[in-house]
Amino acid sequence: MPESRGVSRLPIVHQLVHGPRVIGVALLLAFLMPPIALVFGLVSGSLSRHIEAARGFGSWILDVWNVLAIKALVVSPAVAIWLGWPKAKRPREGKSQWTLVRERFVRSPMAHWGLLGVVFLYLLLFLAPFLAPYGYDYLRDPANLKLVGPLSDGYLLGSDQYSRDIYSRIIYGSRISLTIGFVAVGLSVSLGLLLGLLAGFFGGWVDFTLMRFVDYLLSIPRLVLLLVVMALFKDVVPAEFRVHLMVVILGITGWMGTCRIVRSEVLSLKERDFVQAGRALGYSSTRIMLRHVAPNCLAPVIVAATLGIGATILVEASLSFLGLGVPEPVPSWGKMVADGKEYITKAWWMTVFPGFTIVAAVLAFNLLGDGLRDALDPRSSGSKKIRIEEMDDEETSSQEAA
Amino acid sequence: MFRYVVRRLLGAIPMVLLVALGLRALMALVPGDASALWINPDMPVDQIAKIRADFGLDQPWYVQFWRWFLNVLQGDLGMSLAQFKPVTQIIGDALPNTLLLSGASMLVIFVVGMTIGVISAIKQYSLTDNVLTVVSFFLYSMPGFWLALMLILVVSELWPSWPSSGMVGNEILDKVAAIEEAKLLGETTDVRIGVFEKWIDTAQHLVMPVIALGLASAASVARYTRSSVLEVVRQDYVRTARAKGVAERKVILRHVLRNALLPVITILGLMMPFLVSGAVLIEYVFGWPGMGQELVGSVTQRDTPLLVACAMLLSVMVILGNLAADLLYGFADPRIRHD
Repeated sequence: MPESRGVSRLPIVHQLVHGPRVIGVALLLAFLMPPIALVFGLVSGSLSRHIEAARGFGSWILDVWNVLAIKALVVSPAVAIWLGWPKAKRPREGKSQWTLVRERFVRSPMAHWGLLGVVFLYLLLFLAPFLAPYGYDYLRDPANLKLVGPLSDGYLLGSDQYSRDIYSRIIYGSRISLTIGFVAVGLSVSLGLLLGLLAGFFGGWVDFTLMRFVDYLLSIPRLVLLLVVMALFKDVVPAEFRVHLMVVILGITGWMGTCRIVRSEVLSLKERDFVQAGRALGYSSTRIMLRHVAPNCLAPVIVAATLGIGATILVEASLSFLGLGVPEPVPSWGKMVADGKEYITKAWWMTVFPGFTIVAAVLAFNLLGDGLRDALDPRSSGSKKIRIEEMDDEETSSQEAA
Repeated sequence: MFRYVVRRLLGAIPMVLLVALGLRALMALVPGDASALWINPDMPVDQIAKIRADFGLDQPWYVQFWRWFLNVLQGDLGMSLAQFKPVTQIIGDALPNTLLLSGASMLVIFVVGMTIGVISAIKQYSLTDNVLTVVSFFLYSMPGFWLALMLILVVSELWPSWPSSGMVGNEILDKVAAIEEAKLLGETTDVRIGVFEKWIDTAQHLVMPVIALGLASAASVARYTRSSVLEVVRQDYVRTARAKGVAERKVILRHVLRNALLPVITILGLMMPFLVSGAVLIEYVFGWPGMGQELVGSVTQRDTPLLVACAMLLSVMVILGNLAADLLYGFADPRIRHD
């Protein structure tokens, strides 16, 4: 790689010039968030309306997001600059583990697209009020309900059966899907990490009991459990807390995989020298577990979490498709597909566009997760990685020669 | 081996009973039961109480569970509270349909998945490989219910006469109705339903659900097959075979595929939970009269006996799938012993 000089030493520009372009584009998008919001808001004429009317929204989870959206306009460029800061070049021996991970990640093109997709999704999520020309529950023409196709009559992606704008609803839907995916996976991964650590570290009856419990939970098909719980509690839990119920249920039914991974990782880690050294120094079990063992089994957990978000978005969509998800009029991609099911032959746009969005979102997280796995755990991948390791050595040696 | 299977199966029984117990406890947390379906609000209170007592709904849930458990020991899964039919009968009607759907999907998953995987492994890093990789990533990220709807959309445009819902075509239903009518009137009729005709009809209805259910899993089988083949291709004995001049075709078919495809079948069992969950949604979209339909119906109607039976059966399928995976593992890799 050439030495970066002049203008290409600037963050983000550096990635656009030398580094992986896709990452540069992703960071550029994040950096340009305020102007994008401004332009789109002015073009669609929704800026002033949405800033003023933000308080009028029905469900408070969307309100919270509106506040976050304003903050994101400031935070996002700062984060983009921080991530895009060119790192000083050092020989391979001097690089930290995370620098190596970053370098491996940068080599996988699929992962770049995944990252770009995920950044784009979070842009949608934060900027929904600025990007969407209408509110998610705004009935444009309630007196004259008819299904309007895409690109006509001011509907970018058509209208639904209540004359709501599908494009706006898809954008607002990102808040529900991504929030549920992110929080539920956060919950399940923390649970899995904690219980996996306990089971692996203490062994004995703790391990036995926990693992039998994991077997038990794994023998119930997850969708069945979710179906039952959502159907039962649907009428008991107030509508505005349905999202929370869903997050909690998805979280506490999804931790078993992580728990198994962490446990097996801990079982091999606790025989290693650095743990023995900690024991010899008289560290407490808690300290060894949290400070020495836990950080070393994070890699597979991060991968599982990224892939888990994609899977959770799918499960949320399935539940919403069965009518057991978030209540009306909050938009969810799965529910929009379900709405379109009735009109499948008359109004294809009602199912096609929300479905595409689900595919794109899940795909982005899957690609990112795959790339992260290659970067974090080079052992797990096949011949391709071996060649890259070899290339890496050649690269360093040629640089040293120069 | 035999002892291992028996031990695993015996170990599964408490699991399945625990599933039933857990579900009933969960349902007891929320007030209300199936009696809401058939009680008229104008009924006198004592009559309502009597009806509920007849069905044992006035007892605490653990008493209900115990009674149900005693019946299960005699092979009686209870009465459906919404359909007023024995649960065993409902499941007896629905289970073969689900097994047909899952079985056919399993076949498609492995045939399509392995073929694609082998092709992309042999042509590693070629255009074909890259396209197939991208396509399989797409399919893997696609919700089955949406794929099902897209299939319906496309097929209804291109081929309006192709059946897109249910399991039995109108022609067959008409014939069944004619035969029933003749039987009622005591007449003889020359309307017959040929076995072959019925099979073709079912097969036609099966095509779209099977594609919708199988394609996503086929994509993951393809990924798995690809890496498995790539691993075997690098082995020394493949190089030896090539070095002694065996034709490339023969090397691939005899030396590589034999060793590469065996590990792939072990994920057959692990696919079971996905297949079961997927089938629920696919059956819902296509109106396929299987376990998934019964499950969704029983959940919304709070039909506890049917729901518990469906959930237990699906759990049994998952447990059997895991057992099959472990056994196939031992079969594919003889170093793993079960005893």
